[in-house]
Amino acid sequence: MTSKELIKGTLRVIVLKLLAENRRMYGYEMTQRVKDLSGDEIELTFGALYPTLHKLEAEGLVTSKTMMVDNRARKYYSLTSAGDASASKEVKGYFDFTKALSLVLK
Amino acid sequence: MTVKLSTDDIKYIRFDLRKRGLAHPSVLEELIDHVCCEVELEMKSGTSFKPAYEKVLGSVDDRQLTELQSTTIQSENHTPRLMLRNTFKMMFRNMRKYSLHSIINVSGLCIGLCCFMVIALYVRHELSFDKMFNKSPDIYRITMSSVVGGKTNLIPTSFPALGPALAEESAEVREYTRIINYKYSRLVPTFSNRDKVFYEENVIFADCTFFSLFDFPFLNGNPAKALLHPNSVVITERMAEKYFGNGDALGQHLTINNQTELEVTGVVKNIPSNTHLQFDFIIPISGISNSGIFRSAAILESWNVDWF
Repeated sequence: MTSKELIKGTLRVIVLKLLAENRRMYGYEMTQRVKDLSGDEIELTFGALYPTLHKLEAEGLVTSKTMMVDNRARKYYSLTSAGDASASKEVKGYFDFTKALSLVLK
Repeated sequence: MTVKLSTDDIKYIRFDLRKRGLAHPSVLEELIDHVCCEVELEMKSGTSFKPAYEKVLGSVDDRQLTELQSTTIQSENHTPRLMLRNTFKMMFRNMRKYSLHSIINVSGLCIGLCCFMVIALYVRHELSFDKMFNKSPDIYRITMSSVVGGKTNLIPTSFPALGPALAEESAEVREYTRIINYKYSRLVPTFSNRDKVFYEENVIFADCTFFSLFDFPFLNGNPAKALLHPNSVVITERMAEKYFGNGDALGQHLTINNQTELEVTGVVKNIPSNTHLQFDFIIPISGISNSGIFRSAAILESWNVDWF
């Protein structure tokens, strides 16, 4: 399992990337998708995920829409146009960083 | 196989999450959905609702839930306006909830602030005393003390001859003015303008340098010349209105004690409360012999009277 600290720093990029690939997602769906993609390596906890989503929403990168599904309210998140632009920028920034980091940690 | 939670199950989850401290509506709804999804996943393997729910929430500390809630509230209060609105909302709700306590607190604060303001006004008034004159840092009042039988008495007045003597002998004394209050005579003078006759309490005599030292603002008249002639008088705005109505008081005549006619040579603004020189009429000290206190102006060279 990847350490919590590492996930914390990259959660923002993960969420932006997920939303860029899928038009809209809800919180639980994201945790499952990340679990699948990482081969059960990365498990997002709700305690970290939701504050990140709310923060992105407050920044205006993400919008949300609530719908009734199976007798309960489900909140779907999607990227705004500003979020679209910053998603690709932040993903690229992350790869630049890991490249630099691998040089340091080599 | 897909498992769907019933409304009752969802109700149960909602109730339990609320019991664990979640109150913020959007956080609560979002977490209900999240927990429902996890429970449904757990139930796919055949577990029934209760054990599945216990398993999902077993690893979750209540503190984690409330922490999530407070970070959400913080991120929602990202603008000062929203934050202030929530703060005031909380204030009003708390005040209503603990109304007795609030009333005691607020009224206590009110009384405290009122006391503070009253004391501050009083102190400011006291500290501002006699500070309104341009020359006030250079003005000194001469008082006396006498020792009688081992007991020291402080006397706020001195001898009339002291002023001229000090001015003559000491270069540091540039100007002096002697002031005597009519009250020392234990008499109350009358002033009259035709049929208007009044007893007046605030009457003083002063040397012609009075307005050079104490620059009370003049509404009418020349401060340098106002007290030169023995039979002149400077009055306050209030007295000008009392004796002469709205007309011009300058150059008019007032009769003191039904004996001597005095010409009004100046009208000053009403005297502020923060000076000890409270007067309504100033008569030149050179006219003191016509005032009914002393018969002769020779008193001004005397060392025997200590009323000045």
